[in-house]
Amino acid sequence: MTGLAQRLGVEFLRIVAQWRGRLGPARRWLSEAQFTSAVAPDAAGREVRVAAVQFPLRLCSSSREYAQACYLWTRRAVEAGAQLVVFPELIGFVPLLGLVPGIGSGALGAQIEAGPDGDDMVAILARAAAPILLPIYHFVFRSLARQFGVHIAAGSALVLGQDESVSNVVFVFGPNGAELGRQAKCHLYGLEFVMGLARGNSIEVFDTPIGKLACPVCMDHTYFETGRIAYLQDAEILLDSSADAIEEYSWWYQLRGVWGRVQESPAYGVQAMMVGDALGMPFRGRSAVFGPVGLVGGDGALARAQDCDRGEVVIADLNLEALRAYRRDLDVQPRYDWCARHLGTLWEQLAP
Amino acid sequence: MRRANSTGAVLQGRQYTFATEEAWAQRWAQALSRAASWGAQLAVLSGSPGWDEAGDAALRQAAELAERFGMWLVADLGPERDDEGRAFQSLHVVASDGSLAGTQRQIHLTQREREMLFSPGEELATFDSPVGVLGLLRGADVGIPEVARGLTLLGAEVLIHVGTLGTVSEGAWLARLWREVQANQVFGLEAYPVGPGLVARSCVLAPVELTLEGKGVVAQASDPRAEAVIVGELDWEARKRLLAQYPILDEMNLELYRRQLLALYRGEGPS
Repeated sequence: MTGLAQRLGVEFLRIVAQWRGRLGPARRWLSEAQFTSAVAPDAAGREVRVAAVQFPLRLCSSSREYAQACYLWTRRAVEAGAQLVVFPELIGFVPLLGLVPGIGSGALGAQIEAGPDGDDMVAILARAAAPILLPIYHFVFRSLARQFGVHIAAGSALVLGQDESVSNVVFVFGPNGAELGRQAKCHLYGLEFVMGLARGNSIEVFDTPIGKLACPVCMDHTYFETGRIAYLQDAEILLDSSADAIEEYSWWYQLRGVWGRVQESPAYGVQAMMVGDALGMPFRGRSAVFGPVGLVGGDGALARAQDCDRGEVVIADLNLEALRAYRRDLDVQPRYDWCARHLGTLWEQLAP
Repeated sequence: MRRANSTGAVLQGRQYTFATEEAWAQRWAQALSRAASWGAQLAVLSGSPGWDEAGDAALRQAAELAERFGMWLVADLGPERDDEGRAFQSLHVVASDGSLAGTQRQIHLTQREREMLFSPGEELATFDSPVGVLGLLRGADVGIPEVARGLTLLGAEVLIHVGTLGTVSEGAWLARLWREVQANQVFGLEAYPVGPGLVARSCVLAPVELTLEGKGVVAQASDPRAEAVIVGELDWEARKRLLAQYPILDEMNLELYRRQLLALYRGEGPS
């Protein structure tokens, strides 16, 4: 396909997707839906009930269909008493690709396998789709947060920056629907390089009535450094919105993520996984809620999904007061001055 | 120095306070003989000998064992002292020709170790051996991810941990060297002693992708309360393939670490 034909094709798809993704149908459907109110945060900030939504992926062909799916899982979490609901990575992108005509199962994988031209096509698609899909995602989740009166870490969406770079960004909404903060993914992997994503360069902590939250994204939790940055800013709950496209699921492989981070930098971890097959990719994982083994016992999992490929809401109660005491009484505290000297020097030597 | 595949051993022994260095050597000789017969090129000894200082006699006995069995040894031979009389919890590395390859002092101390007036180590070292480049973690250092990361960035390919475990909890064991092996995509040899109040889950570890059942365990002691010799092969070709496909350390965000983490380490952050 020539460059001109490719651009015209993308422009055509963009216009159709924009039409199919107009907000009216989602707005109308949400205005008629039933909402129950979430339990208010513990005034003393001692405990919080969290929900990790294991979201069964499907491609949505309208904003209404997308709103319905997100509503359904939020409602299940709220009805189970959740005060914080965590959704998986790219929930604001992959399901909404169903708005793009002809994107059906396998198409994206075929594009990637097509080689360099396919890579270009995926990057162009990501850049063209991001500004169309983001408003739908943002509208749906801020509406759900406000109408259920619940905190939502709404997984992530692709964001087109003013400099034309595209980032994978988690959005956090408060119970009044206001956006509390954003966190761009700081470590990229696999398809994200193909998509030409830019990485973030800061880890934020959001102080909320339900605890201090940090939201590094999926691959970010493979690196102890992100958990440490959050911990040193007093984060109490690490939210891990993930989407792993893997042929064969392994619980042990999954433990390489936020489970490991909360052992090193004591905090709770809430991992929400995307599951199901779409675009020729198998997404697998078991959503779970973790804590430091020394605090919560067992293998550190307070709750986990039963399956790696079906939708589920995973619920757990987090005792923040116990966590604070545990952190205060740690037998061994890291020597941060030593860390600064040694790792600082090594990072300088490794820098390009 | 390393071959395509190499073999490491972990000796899970009973925790004693040895009266003499000869008794210590005698105690380990049988286990080393078994490890050597299974092709081990390096053995990690569990526990500590209970002496006040790693003196010449201890080093001599360790050298004789290494030479006798043609094997590199990693062991706690007792605390190391410097010219100012400060004591350091340490691990010693003895080459198969009996020479002392070096030591690694423990960087982070427990409350009890601080009360016993041990001083913390400062420097990180790696050791080139027939089973790969070694990085050593003694005791509490395994819980501080900066230590293992520092060693890996210095070139360590095999992390060795010598410590004690007081619980049968699998989670507590996973949270130690297993976590570091997965985070740094290296091999691991972990030695725990058995004894009153101790639980031993000594093992040879690898990244999960390299092991048959995907758990990241090459070999492990089957009985946490019995002495054992655990031998495992380190598959370097498989690791090379893994790193070509999924190189975690190549994708570090150094800009983020230098700008934000370094400031937080220095107490310059917002909290």
